[in-house]
Amino acid sequence: MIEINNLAFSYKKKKQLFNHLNMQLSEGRIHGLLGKNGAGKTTLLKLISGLLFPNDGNIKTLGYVPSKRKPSMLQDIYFLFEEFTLPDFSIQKFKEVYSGFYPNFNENQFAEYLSEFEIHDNEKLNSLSYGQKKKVLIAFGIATNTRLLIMDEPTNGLDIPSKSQFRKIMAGAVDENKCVIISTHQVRDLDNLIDSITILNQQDIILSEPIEKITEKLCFKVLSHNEIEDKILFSENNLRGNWAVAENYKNEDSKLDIEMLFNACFSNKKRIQELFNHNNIS
Amino acid sequence: MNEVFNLKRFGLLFKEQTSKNLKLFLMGTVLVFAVLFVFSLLSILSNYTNWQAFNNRIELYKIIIFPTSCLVSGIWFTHLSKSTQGSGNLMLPVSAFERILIAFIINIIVINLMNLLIVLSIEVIFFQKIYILRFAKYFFIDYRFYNLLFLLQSLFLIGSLVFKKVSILKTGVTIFILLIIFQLINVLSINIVFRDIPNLNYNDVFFNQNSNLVTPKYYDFLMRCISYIGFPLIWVASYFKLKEKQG
Repeated sequence: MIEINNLAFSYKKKKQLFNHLNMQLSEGRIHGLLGKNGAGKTTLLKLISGLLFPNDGNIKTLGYVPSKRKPSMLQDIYFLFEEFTLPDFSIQKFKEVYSGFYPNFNENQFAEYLSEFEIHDNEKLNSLSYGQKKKVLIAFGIATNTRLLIMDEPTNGLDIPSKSQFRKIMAGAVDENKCVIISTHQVRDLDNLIDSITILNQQDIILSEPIEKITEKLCFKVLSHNEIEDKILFSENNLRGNWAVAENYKNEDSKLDIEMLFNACFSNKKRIQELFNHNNIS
Repeated sequence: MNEVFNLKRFGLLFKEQTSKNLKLFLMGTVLVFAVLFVFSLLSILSNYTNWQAFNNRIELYKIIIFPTSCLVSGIWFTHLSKSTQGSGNLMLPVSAFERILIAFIINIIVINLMNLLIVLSIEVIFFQKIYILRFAKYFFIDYRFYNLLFLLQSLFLIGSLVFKKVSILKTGVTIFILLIIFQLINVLSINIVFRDIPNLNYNDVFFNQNSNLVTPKYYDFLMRCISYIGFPLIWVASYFKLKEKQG
């Protein structure tokens, strides 16, 4: 669905943001795009959607070259931006004006998601809080039923109940033809939601793998105080003991901890890349 | 699917842009109408005879309408150049051609049609005469009208790209300063080039109003080409620069 080969991009000539970046994202999955602040998550999303143009290399999104910005490609992409300005419309009017652009827009779904988020469609957009506006856009974005749904920091501004509502809605929104990319630095918000993880560092990708492959290669566990584990990639002490990410050479079953994985990637980047052979296929 | 122009997409975009900017257009219209209404009322009450002459009224209409239509377009362009609004706008599934056509129709045709309607209603209210053809000639056929409109709007487009804050005011001040510099250069050039012709003033040369000055035959043709092609091209180039910034 998305193929990136040897991508190079920079805002300023001397400061390269991406260099020889390769990545593939497949349909039927929710991809989590993680990275520190300024790692280039939003830039990568803009390159994928054709809002920015690569300096070198090529990108294919839904089979199109995104920089050509063909309407047939754009009508199959919905991009939820982190920062946005909404027109002075009621939600009803917003739906009326924008839904026509998306041929697969489903009014019932939109109404259903709004009610899940406890928002009435007769409310004025500008009278809503930032979080509520975001919920309207999330509901609208999912109801467009585009093949590619891009969400940049979707949980920013959402309160705790809304974050779980978001996870619930998103989990039911993906089918085998759709691809969802969620970029965030709030890794806990993506727990139990994403199917694959891409961790972006300055200029390159440390890891881009499905969850099952990550838990096959890595083990996330609490070590007792006396337990000694070799092949530890990252560990952190807390009240329950010593939390660790280790190489899974014993084929143990464990539950992925995104935050631990994230820290392991930055503290032991080289070993992680060796383990996954950095093919960057999700 | 036609990737360049599709009537349904075009209609959707037109609806989106007009609904989103309806308040802005109405405010601009009310502002122009209010200024002209007050001026006309005062001139009639005070027996200001200059205002009774049709040609003088046309000039005043232009003086009021140009800045207002530039202000309205300037606000529209400034909104678009902000990434919070611009990126969302760029993700709408429409072609680049449809976008520029909408921008052109709204900023050049719709705004000016509204201005023409205002002017006609002022004429009906205060002078009980409508010179539709004469107005149409001044507003839609006179190439100097396009010169100024395209040039000013292009400058406001560029202004919305260059200045991050208070771009309309800063653009207005910059245009004013540039205008003074331009006039000074013109006057100096005239004095240098035509030093042998006595009592020649700026208007004689710039508006070709002195019969002693013989201009080449292609002068008018050249000016029309620049007006009909050159200035719209500046507008289009500035618009595409704006689109780049939106991303």
